[in-house]
Amino acid sequence: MTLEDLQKKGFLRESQIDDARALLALDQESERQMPGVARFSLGVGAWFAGFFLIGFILTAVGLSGSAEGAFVTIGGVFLAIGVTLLRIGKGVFSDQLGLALSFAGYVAGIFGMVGLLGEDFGSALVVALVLCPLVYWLSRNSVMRFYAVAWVWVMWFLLAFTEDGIGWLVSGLTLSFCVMLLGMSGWRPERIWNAATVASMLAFLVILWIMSSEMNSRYEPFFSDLFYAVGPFVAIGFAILLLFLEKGRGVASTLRIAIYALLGGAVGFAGAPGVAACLGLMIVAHARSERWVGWLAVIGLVAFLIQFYYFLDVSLMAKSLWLISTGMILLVLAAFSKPEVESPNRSTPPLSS
Amino acid sequence: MEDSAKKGEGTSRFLTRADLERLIRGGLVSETKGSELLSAYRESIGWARWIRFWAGSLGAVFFLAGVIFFFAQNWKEMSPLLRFLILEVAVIASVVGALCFRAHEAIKQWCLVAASVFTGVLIAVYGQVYQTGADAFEVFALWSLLMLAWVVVAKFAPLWMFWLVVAETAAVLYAGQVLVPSGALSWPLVHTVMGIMTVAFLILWELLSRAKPFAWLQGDWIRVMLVTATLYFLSVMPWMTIFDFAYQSDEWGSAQSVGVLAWLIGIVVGTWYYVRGTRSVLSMSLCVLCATVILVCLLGRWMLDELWDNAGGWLIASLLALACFGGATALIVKLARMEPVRSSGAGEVES
Repeated sequence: MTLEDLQKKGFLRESQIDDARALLALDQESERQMPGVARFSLGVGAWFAGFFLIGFILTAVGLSGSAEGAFVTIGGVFLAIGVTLLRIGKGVFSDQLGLALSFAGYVAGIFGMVGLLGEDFGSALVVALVLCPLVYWLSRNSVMRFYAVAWVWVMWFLLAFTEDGIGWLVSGLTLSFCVMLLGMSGWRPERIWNAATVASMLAFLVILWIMSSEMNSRYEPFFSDLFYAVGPFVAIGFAILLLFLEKGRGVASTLRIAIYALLGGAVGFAGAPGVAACLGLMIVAHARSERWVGWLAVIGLVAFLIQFYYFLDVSLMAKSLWLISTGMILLVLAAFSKPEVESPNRSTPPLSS
Repeated sequence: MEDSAKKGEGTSRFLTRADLERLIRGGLVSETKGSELLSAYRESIGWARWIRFWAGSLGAVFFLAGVIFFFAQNWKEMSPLLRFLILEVAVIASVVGALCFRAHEAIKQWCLVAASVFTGVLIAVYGQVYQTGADAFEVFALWSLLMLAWVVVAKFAPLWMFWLVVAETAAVLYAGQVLVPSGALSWPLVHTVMGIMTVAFLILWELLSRAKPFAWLQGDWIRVMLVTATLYFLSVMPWMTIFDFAYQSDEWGSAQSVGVLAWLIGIVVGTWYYVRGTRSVLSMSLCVLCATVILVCLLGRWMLDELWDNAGGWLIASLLALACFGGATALIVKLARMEPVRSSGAGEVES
């Protein structure tokens, strides 16, 4: 579906085409000015420079017991300058300097506040939670917004490795999953919320990764029982989102979603919730024509499948039977799905092409 | 003229659901028409083709993974004879299936993928049953040799990549089990040799994928994977030189010269080729980024070697990193705008 199609079908008047192009061209224009890979280069540079800046702060302030206040002050100043540079600065260097300063400021600020509030990850999470909305609204830079949310998730992951880890893990999974589903349902403007959605999507996959490996043996027996419910929970969540995205498409669509929910739930119940999640993400990505999410899901699927091989709680024989039967069901599904005549108005080419 | 071209470019771009949501939120499409628009969008999504492709591909992957898991279990209740029988029948059935479904390209290709995987499992089970004591590289080398015929017949790009992974694994294992212990090669030099081997495959792919009979080999993902693998292998020697030199050894040997020179040639030729030859912004950027990372590591090491406890040293290192990556970003943007000398291959999908 293109702007031309929208005009032909009467959704847009000819006089509105220029406005529509202007509204959608912002990303295209910035892509023409700076390809995605160049922005990635900026981000990597900011990481390197930020790492050296942290070294600068550490050597300048020192690690003495009374240095917390200095860390908080320097961190706050760096963060403020970084966010200001990202807001008002123009050009590659100011963007990169802004990101590097923000990165170093975040680390120094959190480090100092942890020292002041008490030496645990809980206080670090509180600081990240307070800074997150401030930085998110003040900074208009999508990378900075992504970092603001990602810092919260990083602190959450660290708490997952403490005594009460299981609670943090389960609440983190639920929260990241909900934010991701809401973001992908389109309930809020994508331009503003995309950074939070992407950060939460990655956090969701990381939490599933932690749950599928290390945690299972750490929190026996409670976790073992809970673990098998994660897959069906994830499959049902994705199915609800798909029902929303596909509403009004009739029985065939509902049937397809039900097949996913059953198959994904079964695979998750077998001990591979990550595989179920990636299958769901692939379908959602196709429903929203988000190709990069689709590829992320495919890469995640391969990684989770490899991890499933090393998952010790399920015997290789059981895993093998689950995989063979799921594979056969999918092959039968492929064999019986009739190739349709492609609509000339379809949104984007599928991942396969 | 230019304006009308731009206009056409803007109106013919495929829209995502996020684009439509933006149009509705922007007030260009009314709320009532908005739900109609989203409904029309939903109808435009081709699900049947997508399900056919992915259910088929994932079904095959899950099924083959299940077979691998099954034989990895080394189930004691199953006699060795029965194991061999099952696997040999599976190999023969896959090849017969490929012959029977010659007209259905996708089924034929997946049958040959299955035959290739079953061959590997058969070799592994052979080692399991007879405890041959063979080195791991022999298993992978034999596997890559035996599956080669099916790889050639299948004309299926993912199977070629799979074959390359198996063959390169055999080479790395051979180096690890024979060449390095005997002192014939050092690990960094092994990586350089692997880089040269991968670049040879990359050159071969660049030449072949342009030819009509090899159109099935096209796909920018192959180029990106081969470029990434090449840069990884070639970067190990400069990396080791930066961080090990003067700690492990003070002498600059001929192996280091060869490795660093190979890396330098790879970066320069790769950047030039993907700008002026076959245009690929991503591949060119990977070369530039690889060079920048190595350069920043070199400068950081040089700067902080003496000044690691001095705040000024860290600050200068930070500014150098900013300058290097800022320069790299500006270079990528500039090179991305340059016109290639000749048009790109058919496999090129980037703009």
